Order: sequence, then C-alpha cells, then structure tokens
Amino acid sequence: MFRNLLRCTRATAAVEAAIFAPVFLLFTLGIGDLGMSLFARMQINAAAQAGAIYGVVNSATGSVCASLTTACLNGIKAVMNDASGDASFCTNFMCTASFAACDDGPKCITVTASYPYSPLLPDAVYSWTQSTTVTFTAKIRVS
Amino acid sequence: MNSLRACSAGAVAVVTALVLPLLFGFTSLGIEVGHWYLVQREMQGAADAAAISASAQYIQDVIAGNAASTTYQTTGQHYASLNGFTIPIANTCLVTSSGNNCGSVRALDARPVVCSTPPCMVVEVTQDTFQWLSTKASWEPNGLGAIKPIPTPTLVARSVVNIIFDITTTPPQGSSCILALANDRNAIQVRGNGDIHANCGLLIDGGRDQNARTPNLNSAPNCSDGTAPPCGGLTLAGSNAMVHIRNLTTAASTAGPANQSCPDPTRCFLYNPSTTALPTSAIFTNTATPDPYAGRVFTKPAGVVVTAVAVVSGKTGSGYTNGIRTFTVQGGTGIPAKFTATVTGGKISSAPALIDPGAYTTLPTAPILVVADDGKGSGANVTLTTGNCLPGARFAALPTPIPGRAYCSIPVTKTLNFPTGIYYAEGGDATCMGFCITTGNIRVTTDTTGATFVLTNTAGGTTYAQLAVSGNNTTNLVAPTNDINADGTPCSSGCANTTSGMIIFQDRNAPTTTALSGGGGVTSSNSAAGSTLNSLSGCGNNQTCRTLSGTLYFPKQTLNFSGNGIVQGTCFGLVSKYLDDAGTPTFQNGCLPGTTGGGGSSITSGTFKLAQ
Repeated sequence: MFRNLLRCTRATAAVEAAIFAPVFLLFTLGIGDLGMSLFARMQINAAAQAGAIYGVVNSATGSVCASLTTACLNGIKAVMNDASGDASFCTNFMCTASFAACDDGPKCITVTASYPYSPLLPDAVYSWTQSTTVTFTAKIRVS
Repeated sequence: MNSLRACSAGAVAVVTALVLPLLFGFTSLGIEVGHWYLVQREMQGAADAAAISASAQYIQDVIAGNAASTTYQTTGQHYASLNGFTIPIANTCLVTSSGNNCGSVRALDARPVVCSTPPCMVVEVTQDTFQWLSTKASWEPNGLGAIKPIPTPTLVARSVVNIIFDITTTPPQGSSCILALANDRNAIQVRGNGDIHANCGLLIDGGRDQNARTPNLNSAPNCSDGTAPPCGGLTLAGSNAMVHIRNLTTAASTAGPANQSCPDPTRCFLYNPSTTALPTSAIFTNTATPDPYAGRVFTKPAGVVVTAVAVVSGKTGSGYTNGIRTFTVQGGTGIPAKFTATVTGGKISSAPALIDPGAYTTLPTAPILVVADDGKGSGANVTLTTGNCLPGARFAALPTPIPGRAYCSIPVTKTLNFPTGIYYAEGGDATCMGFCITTGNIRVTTDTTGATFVLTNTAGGTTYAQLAVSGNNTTNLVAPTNDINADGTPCSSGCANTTSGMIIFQDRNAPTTTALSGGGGVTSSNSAAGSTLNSLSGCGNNQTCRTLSGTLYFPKQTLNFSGNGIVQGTCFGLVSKYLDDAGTPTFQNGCLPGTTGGGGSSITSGTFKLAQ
C-alpha cells in the first residue's frame, strides 16, 4: 500500500505546489512588508520635511509662524498631512513642532513625525521587518 | 536514461530551482531601487534643510557687514548632519553675481546650478550606494553566460536656495539724525559714561564742505592727532564712552582719533542689535556731507517793541464796559501793542498787563489813545516803554506767546502752547539765555502746524540767544512743514524766513565755538559775547519727554546733551558745529536731508526661497 503510494505519480504537481506554496507565500508577504516599511519611512520623511519648510517660509515677523501659535501648528500639520498623502496623518499619528534656539543661531525649527509600523506577519517570522515606531526629525535653522 | 527524460516527477522542484534565483535577484533589485528612491528623498530633505540653514547664516553675516565670511559652509555641513547625512564642507557653496565657490559641487554633480537671481546657497548631498550590502550582492547579465555587479550609482541631491535681501535704500532723507560741522577730531564728542543711541546715522563733515582750512582742504596745520585735514571726527573720550548707531559718515579719511573712535568692538556698536560692533561697512569715510541748511534765511522783526504800558494819570477814559477788557494801542506804524486792564465804572481802574508787545517802526506819539475790544468807551491815554526786544520776565507774563515779535529771551516757566509762527529770541538776558525750558512738571508744545524759534541778537547786539532745555518737563515741538511768515501765515514764494522742517535756527553770526575740551568746555571766538554752549537734556524716567519733530540748527556753536532720554519725533535732525555728549540720549527717526544720507543703502533683512 505504502509502496504503491510512493510509486504513484498522480497529483505530484499538487504535492510539490503544496510544499513550495508556503515558502512563496512567506516570501511574498515579506516583500510586501518590506515595501510597506519603506513607504512608511518615506511618508514620515516627507511629512517632517514639509512641516519644517512650512515653518521656515512662514517665520518672518508678522507671519503665521513668527512664533509657534496654534494657527502655526495647525498649518504645519496640514502640510504634513498633504505631504504624507494621508489627510488624517497627524490625527492618527504623532506630529510635533517646536521653535528654539539653535546651537549656532538664534532660531531653529524642529519637526518630528512618528508612525507606529506593524508588519503583516509576526515579528518572529522575519528579521528585516519588525514592529517599530518609525520616527523622523527635520531640523532647520530659521535665522 | 530515456525513462529519466520521460519522467515528470519533480518538475515543479526543477522549475523552482531554476526560477527562484532569478526571482530573488529581481526582487532584490526592486527592493534596492526602492531603497534608492527612499534615500534620495531623505537626501533631498537634508539638502534643503542644510541650504536654508546656511542661508540663514549667510544673511546674518551680511547684515553684520561680514559678507566674506564662509561660516555658512560649516552651517550647511552641520545641518546636513542633523538631518541624517554627512557631507564635506565644500558641498555647501555660494553663488553671487561676481562668482561662486561651487567647483566641488559641480565635480560631484554635472547638472548646472540654476541661480537666476544671485546670491544662491547651494548644498549637494551625495551617497555612494556601493556601500550597501544589497547592492554589493546584486548582479546583472554581462554577455552570454557571464554576470557582473549592477551599476552602483552615486545618489545626488542638490538644493539651491535663492537668498532675497530686503535692501532698504537709504533715501536722501530719513536715515541720518546728527550732522556735526566742526573741522575737529572731536566734532562729535562722547565723554564720561555718555552713550549716543541713534537709530539713524551720524554725519561729520568739517573741512570738506564747511569750516574748511585755507588755502585748500589739506593745508597745514594737521589735525590734533597729526592726521591730515579734513579733520571732522568722532571722539570717544574715556573708556566708558560709547555709541550705538546705524552708521557713521565722515569727510575725513578716518572716523576719528586712533583708539578713540569707531570701529571699536568695545565702544562702538550698532543701534540694533546693540551688542554687535559697528562694522566697517557702516563707516563711510572721505564722504562729504554739505550743510543741508546753508541756504536758509531768517529776517528779524523790524523796529521796536513795547515793553510796558501805563495809563496816564487822570486819563482813564469813560464809557468802557466794566470787566477785564483788551485794549489796542492806537497810532504809530507797525503792529500795535495790546494790553488788558480792568474797567470799573467805565474807567480803566487797574495797571495794564501787556499781552502783545507789537512791533513798531514808528512809535505812536502822545497823546496815545487806546481802543477797547468791544469798541465802546474812549478817552484813556497811555504811555509806552519800548525796547529792541521784550525782556524774558515780561515774556513769562504774557498769557499767550505772540509769534513774529522780538523777545530778548523766551523763558517757558508754565505749561504753554506756541501757536504757529516764528518766535525770535534776541540776545538772551538775565532771565534766560535765549530759549529756555528748564522748569519741571510743565508741558511745552506747539500747534501741530508747527513753529520755528530763531536764536539771534538784537539789532547791533553782540550777544546771541542760545538754547537751554532741561528738567522733567514734556517738550513737544513741531516744525512747520512749509515755509511760513513770522505771524504764522503761509508763505509760498520769496519768503523772508525759510522755516520748513526747522524747529530751532541759531543765527550764523553767533560767536563760534573754536574748540571743545575733553571736559565739555568750549572756547569762543568772542568770549565777550557769551558762551557758545547750548544744552539739551533728557529727563530721566520720563523717557519720552522730548518730542522734536524737526531740526535743531546750531551751525556755529556746540550742543551739549546730558541725562537720559529718548529724543523722538516724526522727523528729527540736529546740525551743530560740535556735539558734546555726556548723557545717554536715544535719537530716533532721523530726517536730515542731504545726498549721502548716512552712506547709502543698507541691508536690513533677508529671506530665501527654494530655487532648485
């Protein structure tokens, strides 16, 4: 009975596919996770940079970001949402901005965006995509 | 063998074995390229941040007069690092209209640097992808049966920031507030703990356009410090004396005596920021500033004034309306004098109080009649005491100053407003040296349409009126915008008095200050004619007590400033031969006309925009 089973060639493709399918699936999902991780990094980078540039451009005396008012912070968050491609980016995730003296000048703007990234598969499966908070900080001297 | 070929068992495994490396390879390549784009994006952000930050540094340097500084390169490198990338210092460069230092940048990135309106700050961030492991492990076909590593591009990101300076071109008026005319190294002298704060420029000519030596500018003798004329300069007498100014312009080749003038990082500062040393770019030497008021003229009132009125005994008249009445003197030629007196029972019953000294070229002859303001009554006779000018004590008794009259002095001892017109102080007297505001807790003003005070002499007199303003009082004087007649009426052409913009005009024939000592003492060209020192002081805690909207003009004498306070006004100017400062005044809203205007254009701020 067992010998007959070993000699039988029917459905061999199905058996081989059943063996390799999980491998392909894991590989494909892993690539997807990696891509999403890169996208998350790009999103927060774009958001932080856009927010900082907004602060710089509007930092002149009399402009909305002459100091870090609520209106200024709202403006920064709006451009961060635009840059990230997610209208709720700064609602769902953390966006912060601050004006302070630089180590080499009177005024710097620091904008930080944070995104808690979770891969599709558990952390134990891969080493290259892990659950983590992706953070990027842009710092620009204003004056 | 045939059966092996015919066997289809394990076909998937074989196909997988053949395809898997290719799949892995292309997947790796896809990830790699995706990573490049991510890093490229981050590099661009870092380049933008670095270029903007470097621009901020450059703007700061230019405003401080240090445009040649390359500190911006360090700043660019620093902020690229803060944003995640390490770049060489030469990767930050500057494009100006006269050239650039972007050779290293161009060597890294052949793209043209787009800077249509210099200056532009350029930052190049590069990343060699070969250092990444995945790139090292990536291969591509290289002919039949061969492979080679895929190209490992160097990623580049460039940011060009267009720096836009907000250049304020110094207009002929509006930037300078003090002009000293003396051909002396201490034409402007700051001594003791004195500190001139001037949100405007200081001008010193002396020797080039006024007070020039003969036969020519550079004739002997040399200046007091041995330098060749012209000599006019700023002297900081003592280690505590300093200035905070916008700029300094001298006709001389240096700003003042060596080690006692600008530039001096410990005593000579910008007005704002006040801790920044006045840069050499804000010091203009060999630059003439002609006296902008050299063509101004004034004409003293002709004739004599009434200094006192008395009612002739037994000639008190009849039919006058009881009460305090105003009477006008009849007869003579010129402007009639006026006085007030009490009328009782239809007769003048009190001593007359002069309210207008008039101005007579021909005095009335006895019997001198008077007319009441209501036209009623008659018969009163008066006698007049006259003089070349109304003494200060009499002026102080006037209820309201009358313009166009000759006053020996104008002592202001009570809150007083001067109606529009020209007020002549002739010679000064024991009550006041000319125009004096020295009583505390009073307010002295002019009509908003302005008044001019002329400090001169009486006809044939040797003494000239001077200015003395001190004490905790509020002085708000406004110059006429246009030329007016002595009585305050407008003058459109051929004016005997050119008053526009002038608060105080001191006669050019007044005795001249020939030297100013380090202690503030003055030497006069005619000591018998009195001092040549005019004075103006602040008033301590009442910082804004001096509002002077116009020019104070002392072309031959010295103005001493003492005390603390802000001299403000819509258009302030001071022209004097010497300025001696022992106090801490703050001058604002400088408004001297002229062609140099404190040295021309100055950069006040800068902004930037991303250009590439």
